[in-house]
Amino acid sequence: MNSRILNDIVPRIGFAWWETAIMRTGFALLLLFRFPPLASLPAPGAELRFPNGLAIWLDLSWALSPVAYSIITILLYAAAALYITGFAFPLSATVLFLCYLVTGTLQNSLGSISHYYQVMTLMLLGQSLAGWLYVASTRERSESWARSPASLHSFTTRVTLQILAGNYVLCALTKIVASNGAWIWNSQYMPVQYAKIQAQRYYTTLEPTDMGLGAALNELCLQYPWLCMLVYAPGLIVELLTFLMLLGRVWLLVVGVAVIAMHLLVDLTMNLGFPQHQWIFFLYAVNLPYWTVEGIRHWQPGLRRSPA
Amino acid sequence: MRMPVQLGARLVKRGLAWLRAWPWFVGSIVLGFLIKENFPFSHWPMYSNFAPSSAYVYVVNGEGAPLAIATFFETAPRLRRQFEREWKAGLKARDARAQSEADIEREAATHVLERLARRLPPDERAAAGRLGLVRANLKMDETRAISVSERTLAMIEFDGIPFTPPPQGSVPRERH
Repeated sequence: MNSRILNDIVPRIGFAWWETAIMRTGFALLLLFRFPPLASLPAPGAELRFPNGLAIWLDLSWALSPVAYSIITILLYAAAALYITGFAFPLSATVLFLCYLVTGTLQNSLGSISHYYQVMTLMLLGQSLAGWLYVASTRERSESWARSPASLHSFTTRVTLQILAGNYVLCALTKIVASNGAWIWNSQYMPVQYAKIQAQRYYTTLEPTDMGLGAALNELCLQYPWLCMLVYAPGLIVELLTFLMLLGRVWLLVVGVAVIAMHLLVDLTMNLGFPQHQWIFFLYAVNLPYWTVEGIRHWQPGLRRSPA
Repeated sequence: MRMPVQLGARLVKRGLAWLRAWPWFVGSIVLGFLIKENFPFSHWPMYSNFAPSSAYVYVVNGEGAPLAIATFFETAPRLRRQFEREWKAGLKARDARAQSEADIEREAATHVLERLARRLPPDERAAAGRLGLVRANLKMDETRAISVSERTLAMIEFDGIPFTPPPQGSVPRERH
């Protein structure tokens, strides 16, 4: 395949240094705010009945002691600060990845798999690998450590976007495979899931749950099965088409807005919020700073354009 | 005849070019499918299919009154998944131990309850008396009416279960 044709159909987005700096800052803050608290991990001494991932081969229970957890937290904060600056990027991304890997693995080793930390941890894994690959492939290796090259961060951002798109498409493919292609048809049973979610929310806190607009919509869905299909089918379609965001800046914006809207709809109708995923798409796909700057440049044509 | 073949070949070529240009995208899908639910990888099976029935679990005291699951630094969805995992593991091992389904459920529920009991301080243990796990089954019938049937799977005493105080400053979880 001619490389020019390849570039035509798969444009390579070049991110400016300030765009990636804002993305790194936003993502680092998310990592700090959403880090699993010690109380959410198994109690020290509790048996890890179903070791998950790395815990199958390695005993990670040492991280459950308050002292070890404090050290991990200090490492997390130090790495996040370095990560924001962009210096020694492969190292900071790797340390952040390991902090999340250890705690996330332990949290999932009691038999219940939560899906709140996978995307963030996979993004960190991709950024670490991409960072080390970049360092290995450049002539001036020390530059990647002593400086914060824009090309390195542009590359790791493209990798991040591919990982995000891959996981959302995978989510849609799993739905299609697990339901034998009948996911949209079977979504007529969504009110059963809604009743379960409502009960689970109540039994978690024993406080009355206000399901807001979702309750009214669910009542309608109970009466009209086709309404369920109408409400939930767009979610599957959005997930399946997430790969379009790799086609260029405008697609990135459109898909970013669509994914955030999908999460808002799911939160509204099922009370299943994934705020961290929305924040990630807001940072990396919607990329408001870029469009703001582009808008200003459009009205003041004398200003230099940013790459791609 | 040649036209559709040429067009097909071009489309395949372009498709392959896309996949070559997006190795991390393709890798994420392939690894997720292969590795499945092993942190940080996932094939995202939640809500991947819907059925007219479902279930949840909750915790009760010795008198059968519900206790807030957040008290144990857990949530109801996590507790249900933990119970289901224990139950499936019990079903897998059933042939070797010739247990009844009720025994397997009781054993699975007991494992979950014993873990929860570690988080309950002595004064709350005294107030609760015992700890039980209830499973509620939801079912949608032909008229789309949803009914709930409940059963207590197990009840445990606190004797011999150590108390592990939660870390200072930690607050019960509310959503996940």
